[in-house]
Amino acid sequence: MGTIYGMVALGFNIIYNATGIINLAQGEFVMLGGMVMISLTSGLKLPMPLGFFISVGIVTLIGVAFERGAIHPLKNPSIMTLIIITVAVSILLKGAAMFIWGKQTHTLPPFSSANPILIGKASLTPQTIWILGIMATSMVFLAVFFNFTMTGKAMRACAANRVAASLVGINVKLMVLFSFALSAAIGAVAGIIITPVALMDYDRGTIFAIKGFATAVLGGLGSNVGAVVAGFIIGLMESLGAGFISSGYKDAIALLVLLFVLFFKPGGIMGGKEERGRKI
Amino acid sequence: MEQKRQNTKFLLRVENLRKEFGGIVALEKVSFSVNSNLIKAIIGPNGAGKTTIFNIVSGIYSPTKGKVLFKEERIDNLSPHLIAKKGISRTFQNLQIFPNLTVIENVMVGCHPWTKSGFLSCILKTGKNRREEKKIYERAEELLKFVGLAEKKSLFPSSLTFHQQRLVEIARALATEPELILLDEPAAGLNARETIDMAELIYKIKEKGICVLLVEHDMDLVMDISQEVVVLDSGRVIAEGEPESIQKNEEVIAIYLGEKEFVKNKKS
Amino acid sequence: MGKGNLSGFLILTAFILIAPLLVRNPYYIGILVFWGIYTLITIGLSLLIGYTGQISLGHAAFFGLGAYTSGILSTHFKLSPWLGLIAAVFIAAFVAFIIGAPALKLRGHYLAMATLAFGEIIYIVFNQWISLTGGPSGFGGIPRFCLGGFCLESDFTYYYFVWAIVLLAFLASLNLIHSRVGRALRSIHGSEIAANCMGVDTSGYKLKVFVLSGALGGLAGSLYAHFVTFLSPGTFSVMFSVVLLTMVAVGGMRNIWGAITGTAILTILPEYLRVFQDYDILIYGGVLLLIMIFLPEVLVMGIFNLIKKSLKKAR
Repeated sequence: MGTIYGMVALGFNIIYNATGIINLAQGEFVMLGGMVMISLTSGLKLPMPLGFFISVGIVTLIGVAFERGAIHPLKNPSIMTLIIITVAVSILLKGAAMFIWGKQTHTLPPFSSANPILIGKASLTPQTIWILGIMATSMVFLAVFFNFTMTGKAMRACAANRVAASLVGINVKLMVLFSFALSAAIGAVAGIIITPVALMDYDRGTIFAIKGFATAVLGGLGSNVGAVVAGFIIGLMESLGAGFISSGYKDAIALLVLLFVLFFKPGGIMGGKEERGRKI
Repeated sequence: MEQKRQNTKFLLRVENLRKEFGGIVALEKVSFSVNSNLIKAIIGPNGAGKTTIFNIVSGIYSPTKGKVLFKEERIDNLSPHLIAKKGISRTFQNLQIFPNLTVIENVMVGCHPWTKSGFLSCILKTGKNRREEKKIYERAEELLKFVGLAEKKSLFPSSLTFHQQRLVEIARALATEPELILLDEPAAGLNARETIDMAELIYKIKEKGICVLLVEHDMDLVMDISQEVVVLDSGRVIAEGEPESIQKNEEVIAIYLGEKEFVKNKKS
Repeated sequence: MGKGNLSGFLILTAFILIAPLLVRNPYYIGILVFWGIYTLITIGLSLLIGYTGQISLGHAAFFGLGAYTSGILSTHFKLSPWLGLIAAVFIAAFVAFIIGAPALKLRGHYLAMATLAFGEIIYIVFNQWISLTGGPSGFGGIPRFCLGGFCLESDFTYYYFVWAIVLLAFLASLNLIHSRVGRALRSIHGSEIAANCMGVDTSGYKLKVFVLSGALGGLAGSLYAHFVTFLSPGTFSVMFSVVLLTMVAVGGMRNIWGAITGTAILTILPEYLRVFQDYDILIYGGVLLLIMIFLPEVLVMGIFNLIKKSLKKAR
């Protein structure tokens, strides 16, 4: 589970790094990824790999639409406006999902067999392996993208200094669009690979968003490495916690962690921006 | 005159200030003092650290090392609103006016430190509260008249020119009844006529008994009205004294003309 | 507070007094009661968002805390609902204090997320602490308010009871806004740095307003509990926090009148749109989005101002 939070956190980071916006609708991308995949595979009976890529594609398009429709037209929005807009979009997506898929939970069959494999003394389900595998692949892909491709580097430039980036000829607006698309894609992937394990319903988006954000903050907002590490930490804490307290409360664990981090060390474990000795 | 100086305690004393931002040292061993009832200017090239000093004195930043003493009391560990209560007020280089309040309301906020009505008396509109409101309103009107903006009192700052907004900020700062006012580049962006008006205004402020510490780039303004000058460069105090002696100071000239190397070689 | 506000207030009071008599169907009186209860919360939220410029995505939590406190105390512990009401206000205020003190040091998104997380945590507690709250299935049998022998049983009497409180709170807020404290609050929104340097204790005020809005939420919760007599956690989800936010936004965030109008629109209008029951989530999201893109902060007030301007021109 921790890997999923890590991926959602990555999504947050990507948009944050390129635009400074925190996309509260991130969780909905996850949800949509899972739901669309379900429709495509169970409904239209498409084969898994095809369904996978198409689902990611569709959700990516939704991300693009989001950016074009809701973010792009804004002129110098205040933080308040941005927050409310992302919340509004998240609700819209949620409502649409409820409309299309109803209120029940859905699931996907696991990607390969359901029988656990024994590795040493631990048993892992093949699905877990899939999750870790896809996660690792995505990480590598992202690392390569951000460090070695022009577009990736351009996005990092935007994150560092928007004005300078535009002066150097980087099309900042395009980068913003891209960041949303990429973020949506990652969210979708996360949603797809987790659905066989955790089920999916229209309401799940919010919890993923909150926990993903908690993960991002814990790892230091903007730090991709931190996000992954934090994801594992939170996932671990949840499983341990579920053992001690009743499982209903385990959702609260990530939230408490979030509050804890925000209140005491907003930079997260990777440090982040230092406090400049400001008093207000 | 000299004897009088030695007997009075300094209004503001800045001792050995050091300020670091991450890896950058913005201020290093900055010390100077300000007597009451005079106009003192801090000058220096861009990036010398002048506004940082203001931010430390007004309480926005805390110094990495060093102290700030106001009337012999340490204030560098206090938050800005407490410092305002102690008698230090300021204006801002990049204009921090309240865009959502009318001109007179902006100035009325300045009256906050010496007024007392809390939540309860404001809600109940007690007699005390009403009397205080009246006092605040009248004081604000007075101050707007002082800076020459009385007719604009019910407008929003967005309808005012940059110069006028500056004046509102000054009126607002004066409303706190300060003993020391920090003016951050009051003449920046003003034309020649407006600068002369500003100089007159600053002089009038000093005449009211308020000590003025200003940061400024306009040399004419500085030399005209200040009684003392501190020169800052790269976070260090290079010179301090009366305007005439500063003007003749070789190092100061060198900084402004960029001929530091030349002066050094000459000396050796 | 200005002639405009005063006359507005008197007109409002008059309207409130006669409204139930104009309404034919007694069902709608119940709606008016909900309008009042929700307005209590949005007044507090409006002060927080519109005047001090802070955000809270978790205000439903205070509403819920108030409701459950009052409900539980009067059912499980058999205390008088009046004590429940007082306790509700105190507990909500107390929690607001505890959460607000650290949270308000945060800016923008962080604050939003912190309040969201807080709201969600409280919601989870409501769901999980079954022995106290009855869990997802809720609990009922909450008694009504009684004074002497007279109990507030009917929608009609409850309406006047609730609105008396709301009008008082509104009047208090109007007084507050047009006062030294009100200016201080607005200055925080205008420029927190300058406000501080002019002697305004911004952290202190932000916390006080947060606690005040929490207390109002708690009060509303208690009024709610003793009206519907049955509570379940679903009412107090994060979704409701967003609805509250929408009410403030629709009415116009800059102006406290917006709290009344925005709440009215979002409480009464859905009744006429009953047919869209399941689409309500969609509609809320859509409305919020459109407002934020095209008319941030000033929907109803914006229209109001437009009308004023065109009237002036017509003269």
